[in-house]
Amino acid sequence: MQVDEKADALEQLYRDRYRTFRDVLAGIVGSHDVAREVVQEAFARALRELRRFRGEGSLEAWVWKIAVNVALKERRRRLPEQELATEPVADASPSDPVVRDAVLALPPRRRLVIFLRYFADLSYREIAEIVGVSEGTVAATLSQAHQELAMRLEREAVRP
Amino acid sequence: MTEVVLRDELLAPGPDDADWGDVVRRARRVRRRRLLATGLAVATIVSLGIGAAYGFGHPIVDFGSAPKGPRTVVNDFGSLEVGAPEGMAPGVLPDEARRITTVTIEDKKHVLWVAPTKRGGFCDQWSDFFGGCRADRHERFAERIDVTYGGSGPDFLGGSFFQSATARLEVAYADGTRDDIPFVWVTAPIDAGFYLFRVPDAHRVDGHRPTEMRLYDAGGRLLRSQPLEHLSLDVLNLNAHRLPGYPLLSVPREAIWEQRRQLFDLRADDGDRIGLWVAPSRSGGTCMWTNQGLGCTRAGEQSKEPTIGLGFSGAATHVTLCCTVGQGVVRVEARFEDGDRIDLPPPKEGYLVWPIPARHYPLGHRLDELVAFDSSDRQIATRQLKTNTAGLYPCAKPKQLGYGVSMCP
Repeated sequence: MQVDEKADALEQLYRDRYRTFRDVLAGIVGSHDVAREVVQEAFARALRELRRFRGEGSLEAWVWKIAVNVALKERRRRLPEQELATEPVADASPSDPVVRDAVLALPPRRRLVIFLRYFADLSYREIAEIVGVSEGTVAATLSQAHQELAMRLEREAVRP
Repeated sequence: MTEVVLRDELLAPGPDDADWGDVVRRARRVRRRRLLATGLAVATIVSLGIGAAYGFGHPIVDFGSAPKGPRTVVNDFGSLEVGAPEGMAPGVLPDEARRITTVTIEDKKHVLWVAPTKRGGFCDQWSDFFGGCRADRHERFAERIDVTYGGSGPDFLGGSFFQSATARLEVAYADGTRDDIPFVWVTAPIDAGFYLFRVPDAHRVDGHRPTEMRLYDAGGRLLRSQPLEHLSLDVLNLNAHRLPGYPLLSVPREAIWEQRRQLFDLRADDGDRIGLWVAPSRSGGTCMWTNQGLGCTRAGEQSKEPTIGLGFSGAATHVTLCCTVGQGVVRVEARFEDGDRIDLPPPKEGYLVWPIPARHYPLGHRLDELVAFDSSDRQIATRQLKTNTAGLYPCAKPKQLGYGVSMCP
C-alpha cells in the first residue's frame, strides 16, 4: 500500500471509529475531553509516521497501539502519583452505573484489555500486540476480568 | 455475561466531536514553526501567572515568581536547542521555562510558556498553537513587533514586542477602524510584551483587513508602527498534485502542469519512487519538482546554474541528491568515505536526481565528494560534502540527545 493509500485508509478509519477510540481511551485517561486530545494526537502521529506502517498487521491495531501509548503517557503526565484506575470517566454515561463502576474498579491492565476487546472490537491477536503480551495472556486476562466483574456485580446485586 | 451485553452496558455515548482536519493540522505542525491556523474565535486573557500586576491597564507578570514549566514544557524548549541545525540553536535555557498566562479560544485554553535565552532573548510557546524564538536583542531586530498570522483572513495575530514603554497595542484596519489588542508584559530577564488576538470576522475580508500594528506609550505617543505583510498559504505559490505511485507532490503554481515531462523515475532502497519533472513556467522559464523539492527559473536563467548544484534532500527512510548541474556537465561521479565510487545517472537538460544507496548511510561510508566531468571526460568541478550532518541519514538506533530528542548521527 502506498503512503497516499494508507493516508486515505487512516482517514476512513478515523471517520468510522473516532468515537470508539475516544470512548475507550477515556477509560484510560479519565475523561472524554482528554481522550479527544489523545485521539487527535494519536492519529496525527500515525499520519506523520505512516511510512513506518508496513502492513504486517491491521492498520487499526497499529493505530490503537499508538493511541494506547499516547494515552498511557498522558495519564502518567497528568497524575503521576495517582492510580487512575479509580478515576471515574467524567463524561461517561453508561446505562448502568453499577457496571461502569465495576469496570472502572478493575486493575488497569485488565480494564484496558476489556476496553480493547469490547469497545474497540479488536481480536485477541491485535490486543496482544498492543498490550505487548501473548494471545494466551489476553485470553486469561479477559477470563479473569469476566470473573472479577461477575463477582463485583453479584455483590452489588445483593447489596440492600 | 455475553460480550454483546457487556458492550452495550459500557459504551458511553460521548459527543460527536470528530475533526479530521484537526488531525491533519497536527500532523503537519512542525514544532516551533509559526503555525497557520484557521477557525479561531474569541481570544481573551483569562488568567495570569503568579505575581501578576497591572501597569497602564495591562497585566505585568513577574517572571521570577511565575510557575516553572513541567518536564514536557522543558523538553519542548530543550528540543529547540539539541535538535537545531548547526549554528541555529537559540541558546534557550529550557529549565527556566515559566507559565505566563492563559488564553481561551473557542473554549480551548492555550498556555503561554516563555523561557529565556543565553543571549538576552527568549523562546515562547502557546500550547497547542504556535511558538518561536527571539534569541537576542539585536537593535534593529528588537525594534520590530513580532507578528504571527494565522488563517487567510488573517484569523488571528499573535507575537511579542520589546518596547517597555508600551501602554497600548493597536491594530489598524484597511477601512480606517482600529482595535486595541490586550497584551501581557513579562519582567526581566524576558522584558517583553506578548499578545494573541482574534481578528473579528468583519475584518477578514478585502477592504477591512488588518494593515498595521502600532505601539503607544502612556502619553499616547506613537512608539512604533509596522505595516502588516499579509501571509497566507497563497504566498507559498504551490499546487498539490497526485500521480500514481508517488506521495502528494508540491508543484510550483507557476508551472504549466499539463505540459510536464518526467525526466527521472528512480527507486530508493526503501522502495519509494523518486521522480523529477519539468514544465514550462507561465513566465517563460522552466519549473522543476521532485518528491521533496521544487523551483522555477526565469527564461535564460538555467545557464547560470552552478556546475554542481546538487544538494541533499532527506526523507524518513532515504536520502537523495538533487537537483541541477551546470552546462557542459555530462557525468557526475559520487565518491564515498569508504573509497567507493559511483557514476550518477546522466544529467538530463541540466537536471539530476539520485537516491543514495542505503549502504552508504552509516558513518564512514557516506558521500563526501562529487566530481563533474565534461564530454571529453575531463574533470571540470569538484564539490566537498559534509558527512556529519545530524539527522540527515536514517539509522537503526537514533542517538538520544536529551530533552526527549533523538536523532541519527
